[in-house]
Amino acid sequence: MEKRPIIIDTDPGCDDFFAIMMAAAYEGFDIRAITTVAGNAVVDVTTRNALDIAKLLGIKTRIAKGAGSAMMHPFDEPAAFVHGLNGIGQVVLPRSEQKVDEMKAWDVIYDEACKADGQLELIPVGPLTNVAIALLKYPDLKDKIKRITIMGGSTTIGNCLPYSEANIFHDPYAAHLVFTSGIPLVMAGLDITLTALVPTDDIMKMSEDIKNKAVRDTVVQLAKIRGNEPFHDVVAVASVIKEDIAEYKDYNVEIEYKSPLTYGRTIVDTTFTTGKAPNCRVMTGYNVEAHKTMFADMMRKY
Amino acid sequence: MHKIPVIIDTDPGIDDFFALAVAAASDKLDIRAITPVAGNQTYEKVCRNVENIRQLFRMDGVRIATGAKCPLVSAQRTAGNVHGEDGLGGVILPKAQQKAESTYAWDVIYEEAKRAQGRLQIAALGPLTNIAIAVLKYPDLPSMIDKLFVMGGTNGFGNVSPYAEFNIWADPHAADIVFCCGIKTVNMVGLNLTRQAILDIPEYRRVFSAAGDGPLGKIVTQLIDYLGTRAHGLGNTAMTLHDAIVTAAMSDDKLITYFPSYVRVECQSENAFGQTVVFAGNGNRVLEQGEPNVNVADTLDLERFKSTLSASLEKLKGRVAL
Amino acid sequence: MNKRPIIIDCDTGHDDAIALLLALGSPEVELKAVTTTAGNNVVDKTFHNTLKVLSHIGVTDIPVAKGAESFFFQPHKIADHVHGDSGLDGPELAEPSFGGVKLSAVELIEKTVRESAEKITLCPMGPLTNIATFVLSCPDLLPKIERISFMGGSAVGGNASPVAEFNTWQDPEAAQIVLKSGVPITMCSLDATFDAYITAEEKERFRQIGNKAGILTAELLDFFGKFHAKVGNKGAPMHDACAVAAVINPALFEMKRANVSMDLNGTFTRGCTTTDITGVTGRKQNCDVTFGVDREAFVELLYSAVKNLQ
Repeated sequence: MEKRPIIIDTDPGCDDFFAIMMAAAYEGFDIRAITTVAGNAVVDVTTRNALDIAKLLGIKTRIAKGAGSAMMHPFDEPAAFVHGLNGIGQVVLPRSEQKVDEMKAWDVIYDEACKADGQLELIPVGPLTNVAIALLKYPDLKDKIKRITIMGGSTTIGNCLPYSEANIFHDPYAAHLVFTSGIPLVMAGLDITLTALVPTDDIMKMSEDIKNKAVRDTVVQLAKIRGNEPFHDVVAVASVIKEDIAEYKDYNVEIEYKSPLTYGRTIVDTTFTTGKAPNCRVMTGYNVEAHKTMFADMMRKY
Repeated sequence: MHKIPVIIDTDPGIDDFFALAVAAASDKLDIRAITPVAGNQTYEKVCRNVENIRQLFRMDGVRIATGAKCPLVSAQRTAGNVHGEDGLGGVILPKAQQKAESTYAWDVIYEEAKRAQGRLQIAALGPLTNIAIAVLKYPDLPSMIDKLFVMGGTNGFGNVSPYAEFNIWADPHAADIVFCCGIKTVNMVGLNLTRQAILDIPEYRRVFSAAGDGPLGKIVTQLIDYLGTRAHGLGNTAMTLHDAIVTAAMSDDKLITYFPSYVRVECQSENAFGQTVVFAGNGNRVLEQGEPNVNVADTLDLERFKSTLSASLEKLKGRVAL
Repeated sequence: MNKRPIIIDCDTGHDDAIALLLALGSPEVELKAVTTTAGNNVVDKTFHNTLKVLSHIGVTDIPVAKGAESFFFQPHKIADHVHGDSGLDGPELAEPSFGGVKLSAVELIEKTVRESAEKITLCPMGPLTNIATFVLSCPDLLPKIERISFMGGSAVGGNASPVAEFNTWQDPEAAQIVLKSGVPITMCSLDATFDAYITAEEKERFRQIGNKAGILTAELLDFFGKFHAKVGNKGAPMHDACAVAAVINPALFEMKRANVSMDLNGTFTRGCTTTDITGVTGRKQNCDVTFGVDREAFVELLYSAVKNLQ
């Protein structure tokens, strides 16, 4: 089977760790790059984490640093939204010697998109700043990406504002550019990812199947820190691996970036009131049992 | 000659004090009512100041209505940093015997407009909340008002933000309603005009010496001293009396020149919240614009203003009630 | 004398063309590259016009790249009422004798800055789309930008709306990204550029130089002057040339330091460069804003530059 080229754009992050872990455990993926963005921590920290996670999990790929802050706030207001100061609950990972790629995240995305001949899929699980900058810098990029599967947004409730989910909230301008790009999009929204809970006790049991002690220790620590909270980002990766794990509907989705009350909200036109053409496959249901099975299978790969 | 029936809508405020002095001293104006509005300070404070000033200037028979306590939509913000905690820089006026009546400002405005049979002029010296409520409640009111003078807005730079002036910024939604309601003459006396009366503090002292060294003179001196301290604190050696220019202009057509323009108030922008967007204003090179709805004050005859101020205080000095 | 290396980002355009002449004829600056953007007209036209102007005066060795076709968050509106259908109506210019480079505008700026030993000054004179994309995508190169001297914005007044200048009004979000970049900025705003005009008599002096550049300048002004006469301006304002003139000789302008930030969400004020000259916002000063120009000295500067050319 030919492997599918993907790039994970991420801000690790506890749940980013498990998203990367699941992607790396799947033989069908060719992880062309991991690109980092500010989000769960400042970008230097998320980049450091990405390098160390890659080493721990034995992923050999380019790791490129991306945006340090949202696109309308270049440089002056770095975003740090704390998942523990180092982004992963102060868990210390073995340090990787790998160097950060010489190219920036957006240049790597474009480079790999050109190489992959239209087959590249992006899985952004943080703010969409890197993807937006790539689209601005390379206007022809939109024709070279097969699909973008996003963890972000929500059809119902939010977690930063009543209706705004964190990844979109942290850079709605960038999200707007991605959602209007014309690239096929899949949205794993917060309303769905909240259902994808694997209880901590289950994870503890599953982790006994991990042969690599360093990996097992990290999984146990992260699962404990996280408590019984779903790993949102994993849903995006799982759905790219196993598309039928979720149900989807095609909707028009727009991003609010002006209103103070709904800043960063994904306006999902579930009632087709706007008359606008669908631009996104929105996840509307999720098979949690299958998700748990995938989780357990993933553990056995390490 | 018939006196002009007027209502003064005000939020005293040190410059409002002088505006009321000019109006009280004028023999051309027949002050029918004063309608207090929250602005420079919270409502209770400005209302008390209005009551005390009415008594001080012996404005017997002038009604005081009950006005709006907060802006229509936006959050309330006062200007205590300029006018002090009590709105009059800590200057204590004799306590008024008579309180404001319970009738609302907008109802008094409508009653007086009917009574004045098309001749009513209004001076709005604070946020435009009362006037906005009046025109919302009484759709026929705009056509019954002869002239509305507004101290507010600017054609150029502002004072509370780069382009916004305090009174409009304090209730921009009200201002936009009033500008667009169809009153045939709305004279907007903005900062671009009132700043033409920026004088050194010693210069103002000379103008105010007309108040003499009796009770009025003492009050005036205290107010000027306070403003001077405030101005100094803000790094200025000069000041202006925005509101007093407006009441002076009511009885003197030659004081200010205006140009007509379409004017709207920005209510959405973060940067320009409360800006009066003057479509025919300074530096604007756009030819297409809406029908003029506002006369924008442009130039001031400063000497004329100074003599009106002096003459008003001179006239009032023997008449204050203590 | 050390020449200051500059890159012009333009949407040629009559005053853009004259800005190019000013840069090419001035010994104080060296034009390293030209990038084009949508603005006065669509980018295909502004790119083509740029090549035509450079070809006309025999400058064919400067890399020219095509840039943004559209803006970040709003559709493009052209200014053909000012610059005509071609974006450069008036002079009869031959087809270009050279082509642009294969790189995009942002890539050309990136390459030029990266390869330069000295810091580079950027002179944008259209909507700031290309420059903002450069700022976002090349943060590591920003320390190599000496200054951004852009034509756009206004402290008071506007020409696209009552309070907004055309370039910043076209792509306000891009302008905001540039203003927040931390790079030193000169904002050549309408407050001064409307006074940087050329009179009808002065125009004839340019024609009388007799070289291609002089005659081109006069012919550009013949067309451009008509629009400005119609709307009652004193002469033909050379807005865009100010962005270059402020690099050659900042002393030509009366400058004030101010915080400038974009109005992004106004109903009536979107696209305004909110210019805080009194410090009332408490925001950090990030711009030198032009509030006046020594017009005669400016025209003289332009005259001697045009004289230096073919």
